[in-house]
Amino acid sequence: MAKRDDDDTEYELIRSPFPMVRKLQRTLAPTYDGPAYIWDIDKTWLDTRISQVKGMLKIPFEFAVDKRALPGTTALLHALREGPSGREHRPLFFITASPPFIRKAIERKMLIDGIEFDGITYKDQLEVFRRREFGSLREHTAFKLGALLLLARAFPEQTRIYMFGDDAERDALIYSMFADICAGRLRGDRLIDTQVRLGVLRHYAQDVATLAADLPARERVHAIHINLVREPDGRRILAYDPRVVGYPSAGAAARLLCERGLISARGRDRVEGAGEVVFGRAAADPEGWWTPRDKLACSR
Amino acid sequence: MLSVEQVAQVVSEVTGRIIERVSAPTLGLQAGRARSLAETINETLWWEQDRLSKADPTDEETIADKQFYADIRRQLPRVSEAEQRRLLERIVHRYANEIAGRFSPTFYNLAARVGPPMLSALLTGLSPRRLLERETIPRLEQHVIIEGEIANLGRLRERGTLVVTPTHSSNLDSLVIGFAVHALGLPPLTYGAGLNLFRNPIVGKFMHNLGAYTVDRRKRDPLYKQTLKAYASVSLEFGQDNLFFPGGTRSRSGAIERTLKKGLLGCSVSAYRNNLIRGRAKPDIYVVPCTISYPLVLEASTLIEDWLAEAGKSRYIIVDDEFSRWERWLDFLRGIFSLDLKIHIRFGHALDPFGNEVDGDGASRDPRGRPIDPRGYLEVDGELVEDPIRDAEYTRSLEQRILREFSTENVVHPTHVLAFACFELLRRGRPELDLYRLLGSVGPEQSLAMPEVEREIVALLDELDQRTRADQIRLSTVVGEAAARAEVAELVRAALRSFGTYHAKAVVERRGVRLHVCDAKLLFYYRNHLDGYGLRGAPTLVSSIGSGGARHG
Repeated sequence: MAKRDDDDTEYELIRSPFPMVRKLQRTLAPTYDGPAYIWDIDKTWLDTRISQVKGMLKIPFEFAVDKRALPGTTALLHALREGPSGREHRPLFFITASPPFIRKAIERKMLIDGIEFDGITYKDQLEVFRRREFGSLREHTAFKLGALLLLARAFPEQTRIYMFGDDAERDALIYSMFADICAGRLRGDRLIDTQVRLGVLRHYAQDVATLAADLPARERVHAIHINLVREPDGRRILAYDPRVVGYPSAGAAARLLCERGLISARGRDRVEGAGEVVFGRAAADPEGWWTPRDKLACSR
Repeated sequence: MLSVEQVAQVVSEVTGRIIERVSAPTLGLQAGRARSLAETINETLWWEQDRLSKADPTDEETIADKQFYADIRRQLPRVSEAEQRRLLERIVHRYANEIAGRFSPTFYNLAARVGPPMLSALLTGLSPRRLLERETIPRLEQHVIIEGEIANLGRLRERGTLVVTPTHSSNLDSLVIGFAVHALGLPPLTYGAGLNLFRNPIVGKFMHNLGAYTVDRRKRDPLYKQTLKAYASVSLEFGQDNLFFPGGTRSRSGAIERTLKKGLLGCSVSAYRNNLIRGRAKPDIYVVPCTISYPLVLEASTLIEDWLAEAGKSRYIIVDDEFSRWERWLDFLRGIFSLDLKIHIRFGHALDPFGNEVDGDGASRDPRGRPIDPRGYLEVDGELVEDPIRDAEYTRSLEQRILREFSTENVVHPTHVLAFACFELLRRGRPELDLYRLLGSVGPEQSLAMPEVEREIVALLDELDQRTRADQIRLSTVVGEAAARAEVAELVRAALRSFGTYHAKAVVERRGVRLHVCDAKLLFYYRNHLDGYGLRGAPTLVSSIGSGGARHG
């Protein structure tokens, strides 16, 4: 499944379930039962537009110092990493659809901003292009689910996963699907068909389902946080239940995370940003589903 | 700054003074007998022949020097003693002329006005996006922090002549001090700069026109060294403020100087004495120690390699270091700007040439703060007397006082703290290894757990905080805040950011929750900024032997 990138031994080239390049720098102890944070980059941490053609074209002209973090997000990442005591190193992973050829600029930006990450996965856009699967260049569902599942397999079972994305794309839906896959609710043909409905090529959808099949069923995801960049009133997350939270600013997210005991008060106070978080308004599903019914391929 | 005419007068005065000294039978003594002028000239011929035999034979200066000395050699056997004196004058005059700097007020004003913003624009505008979007450009003064005993420098300058004596770790030092002096509203300083610096076309152009005088360290001829000292002394007597790097050369180890070259330093005593003898209106000389503390040092890799190779003597003049490579300059300076790093220049207490502190009015004070007359140091029975042995003792007192100021005004950056903590953990983990074996044993495959490093940093910060309160060392803002709050996360982030950004290979790199030392030599270099303070019970690792700058005992 994986082989080493000859240019840089830190990175793994992964071809299944989706072409990706990954760097993992930490192995959690088998008994670890604390939180692990998984973040998107584009529009969640950085104010970039990788998903847009214009944004892609800008990449060669951008240096690490040009990249701008969304207000307060760097401080929020520091606070999450440091935990409520301020002296922890809580696991932090990134999954981004950014192509690996900008990894140096992204990781240099992380160095400049002092973002301590334990792993990062890039979508191997060049490989997708080489395969002439042009539709998959901008469709990230299979890539993200695949990357998330590979991480979940690397985590101890008791790890509590907290996810961060944005409403510019389908992060809320993909993360919800991932939560349901982990819990064993969304597997097999239903998982394949749901992905295909979302535009995933069938062979990728099948590979994701194959990977998911081996994962012991367990509720792993504890919350999904969505940065409201497109619809600040949170209308894009209203169809989800209250476990999915929209935040109009990093400051609003920090206040909630502090209430939930995930960051310290001091960490919270360093995060700028006004506004209040928005909780999903759908009724809680009796079977625990995160994914809204209408997004699934067939009825439960 | 001296005008062209005054520089010519200095050259003439220097030549006259050297000839007088060499010709005087008591001062020209060697092995109990007076040396003849011919012997002195022959000695010069020998040293210069030795130097020229190693020089590039196609170099124009080498060819001209060879012709000049061939002419002297041809004439020497046939001439009278009076003519020998003329030959010697020619040699000394040639040396003095080569040493003498020139100063262009127009160039200085242009450089002072346009230089910093241009540099800022160049360094931050290299990103195409920033160029297109015309973002606000950070200013140089935001990155050079000038602090310490600066309030009285202007008044002291009005009452006498300043000799600024900084620590020396980079060839950027003279430019940084030049910027600081201008920012403080002081007139430009003259300073001796190694000939190798003039080889960098742009920097050389600046130096030539901003009053730097040339120090050719390849010239081993004692007559050249005498001329150089005389030049510094006479320029002081002409009221020209000077910049001396008393360590002699850049610190190879990264440690703060703890021994100084007393040759140039002694010029302050001789200039003061000569000023008194000549009844000059403003005879006082004020020595102003200062420290220049960089979070990253441009030439660190070459310097520490040199120190470790114990080739300091043979490579006294490094001509192929990072300073000669433009891309490294740009990397370094862009790092300073993009990472918002600060270079700290801290001025210590002004001193008289005998090492006494002077107050804001320029009056010398004894250790108890009582006013004293420095003239008394040079008098015997009310007469001003030249006594080289006594003066050397005074210079030693001055040296000790400057070193104390260096030690207490040393500013600690996050890179120094992280390097010291990591190095200490590695050293304690392998107590059986000597320094060289320890450095050889450390590779990127080995790592330190971040919590362990953080605990070490907390303990180190506690000691640094105590020493800061006792005025024994200074902390940069980030280190100071970390010490005050016992929170190390921001400090570690700042250090990793610096270590991972400029050097070709990261000094220390974080991977997950472990720190990997990727360049043990550079780790040692940055660690040495805190060497000798006895922090965390660490031994002094940098010895004081040999030339080549800061080798500590």
